[in-house]
Amino acid sequence: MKNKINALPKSQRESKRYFLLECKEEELRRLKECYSNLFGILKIAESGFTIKSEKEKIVKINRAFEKELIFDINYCNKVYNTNIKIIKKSGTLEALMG
Amino acid sequence: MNFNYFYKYNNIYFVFANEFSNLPKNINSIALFKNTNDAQFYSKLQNITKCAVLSNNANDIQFWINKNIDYIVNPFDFKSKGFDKNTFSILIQNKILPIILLEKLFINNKQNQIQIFKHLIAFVKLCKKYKLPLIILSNNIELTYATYSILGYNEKQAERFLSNISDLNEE
Repeated sequence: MKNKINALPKSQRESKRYFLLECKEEELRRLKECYSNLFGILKIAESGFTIKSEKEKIVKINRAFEKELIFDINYCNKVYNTNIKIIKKSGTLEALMG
Repeated sequence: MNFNYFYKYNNIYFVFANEFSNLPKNINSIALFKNTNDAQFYSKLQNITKCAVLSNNANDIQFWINKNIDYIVNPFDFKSKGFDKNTFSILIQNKILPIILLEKLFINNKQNQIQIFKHLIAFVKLCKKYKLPLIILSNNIELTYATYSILGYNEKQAERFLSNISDLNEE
């Protein structure tokens, strides 16, 4: 028998959140590194954490992991003295940029 | 305002017991006791303010939770083993609620940070097991709720836990 892995429901798994951030480019990479330290390599894969655009400071994450990202940003700002701010968040890239 | 405080949440000031005499009157406050030496301030402060222990030392924590204090603040210590079931049952018996001050939990030392989070997870497990409300405070409400969610509490539970501290405002 196959071992079934308990995954999130499809609707949740595939629903994305785009975050427009205000920060430096290297702070984006620091944010991702912090996420991985906090929640683990496996979870970062599951979360779909992607730096969509370094230039525009856009991060994409699965909706179910939005809370982890908010925690990550605050943690990163405190521990690594970054100054990352959330400007806007949206379900689609178009709405974020619009 | 011209006095020292450890942390401020809304209009509640967390002030160390030995600095309490400088506090203006009519201020919402929680007095923080660090060690057994602070016992000299206790008899005076217990009638005028809420009291809490803030310590990394197991003996000091033990000493204070056996008194009639209200809260235990950031009870995580990367040097010792963390809370055992006996200590926890004293918290429940004496109706002492744990408060997590999130900003104070983030420290600039990766190795110790991991230990602190491990202790936090273990502590939350015990809170859930014994149904002890856990008050998580930060100066960013979105972060507070995000943390509750990561720790496995829903929004309703979070609101109920936080009402334990807003009650303080109304007194």
